[in-house]
Amino acid sequence: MAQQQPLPSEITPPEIWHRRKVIMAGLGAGLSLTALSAKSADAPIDYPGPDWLQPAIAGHQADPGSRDALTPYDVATRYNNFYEFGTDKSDPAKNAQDFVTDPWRVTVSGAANNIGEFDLEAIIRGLALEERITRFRCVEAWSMVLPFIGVPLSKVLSQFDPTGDAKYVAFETLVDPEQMPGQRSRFSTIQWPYQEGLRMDEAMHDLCFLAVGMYGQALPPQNGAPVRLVVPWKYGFKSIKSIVSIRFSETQPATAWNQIQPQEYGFYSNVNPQVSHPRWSQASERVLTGSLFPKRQDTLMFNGYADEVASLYAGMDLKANF
Amino acid sequence: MKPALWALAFAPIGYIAFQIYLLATGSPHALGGEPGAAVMRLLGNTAWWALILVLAITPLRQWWPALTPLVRARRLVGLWVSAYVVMHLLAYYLLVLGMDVSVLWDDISQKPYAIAGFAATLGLIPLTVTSTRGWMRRLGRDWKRLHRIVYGVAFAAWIHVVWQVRSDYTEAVVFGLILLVLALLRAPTLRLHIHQLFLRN
Repeated sequence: MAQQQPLPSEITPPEIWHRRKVIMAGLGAGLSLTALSAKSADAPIDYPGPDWLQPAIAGHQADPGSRDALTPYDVATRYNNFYEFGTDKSDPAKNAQDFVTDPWRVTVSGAANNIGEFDLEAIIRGLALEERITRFRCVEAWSMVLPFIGVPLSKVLSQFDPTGDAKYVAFETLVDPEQMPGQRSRFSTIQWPYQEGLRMDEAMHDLCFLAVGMYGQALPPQNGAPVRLVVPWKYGFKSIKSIVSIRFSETQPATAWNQIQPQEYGFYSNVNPQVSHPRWSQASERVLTGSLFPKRQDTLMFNGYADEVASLYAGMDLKANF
Repeated sequence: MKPALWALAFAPIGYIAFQIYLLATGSPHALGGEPGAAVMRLLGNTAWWALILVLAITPLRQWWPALTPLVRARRLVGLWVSAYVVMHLLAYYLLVLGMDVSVLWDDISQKPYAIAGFAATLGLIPLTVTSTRGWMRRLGRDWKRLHRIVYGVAFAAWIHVVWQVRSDYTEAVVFGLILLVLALLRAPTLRLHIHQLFLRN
């Protein structure tokens, strides 16, 4: 039976993230040494990332004490759903290595005062990067614990000055069949571009995160380089990768998986052990450790973030709005 | 030819054992981030291809008479299908479910793809049991009739694959086309068989 929940200490609570940022500023030199040694120990896919990003990322590495709880880097970078690069979990690591992620332009449109096309560098440059260790639960019933580096989504969205009409925010991934072999498949049911979206209050929640790195380095392309969303209380497919478009919308945007199978993938897709996927149970999950023998644990409501996010859904029937 | 066929039968197990050895010694391996599930899938795919081989032997021989000796190996290949299905199920129970019987029960009672997989497995049981010479003698002409269940098994196995697809049907389409071609090549015999069934009742 499923027993081992991740210890609360495995996951960094928001207050600590903020405190850690201050500590890191103080300890800078010492920490980056630790980061270097830890990196060389488990970095078979070493993705340098854009030049402008490297100095900002340097030094952002989980403190050694919490590293034991992390999913091995090798698993996190070789077991990916990124259907643009193929449907097999090993395809993205194989097919995405030459993906051009710099320079990277993001189009911002819709109900906001500061819209247009922006360089990712310009969007990120003014913001302090932080590291967040988050649970990550896939709708396929596996989970990881991942140390992402990035900025709260709210800080990025505020830069664009959304108007009162912005009720939702919609995201899109690149369409480029030349670079993305999965988009050339004849039997794929995904309507490219891959789209995702959040209600504005969800997007502005402090747990909503835009990641540009993980494990103390730039985000590898199979993990969504150069910039991806991380919504830790929702199934992984909501956390859209390689974002090229942000659109503020008055109406609920279409989302890729919901278009394919509305009865299997809802707009909200909050992690919920009580609502089964029609083809498999969501009550428990396989914690991926890279071992031959699985570690199973019970799935927690909102992936363990209920204290922080349950209030967003007060009064909603989460079985109907799954 | 027998040694070659035995080598072919053991090659997938050998490959999987080698990959597990690499994993255990911390070397780069091909089993990915969820090695147990990868082992399970490799075993299931091998069972599928062995089944395709069984179904293909008769049409292949008609088309290329030099392959006639393969017919004598057909029963052996059929038994490998069962052996790989058993290993596929064991891997599922040990390496994916973590021996969690409640999840197993959830799957068999609710999940269509698992039900189709179990149906295919159940269909293999009478075929495996009656694979001995004794049973062949005892059943006579009915042995052949009984063993046409194999087409039902193959169809259930195909449904098992289709119902797991999340967005890309390429593999399911390839598998389905192969199965369709093999079934059509045998259609006259199958039609005769169905006809006989109706005459009997």
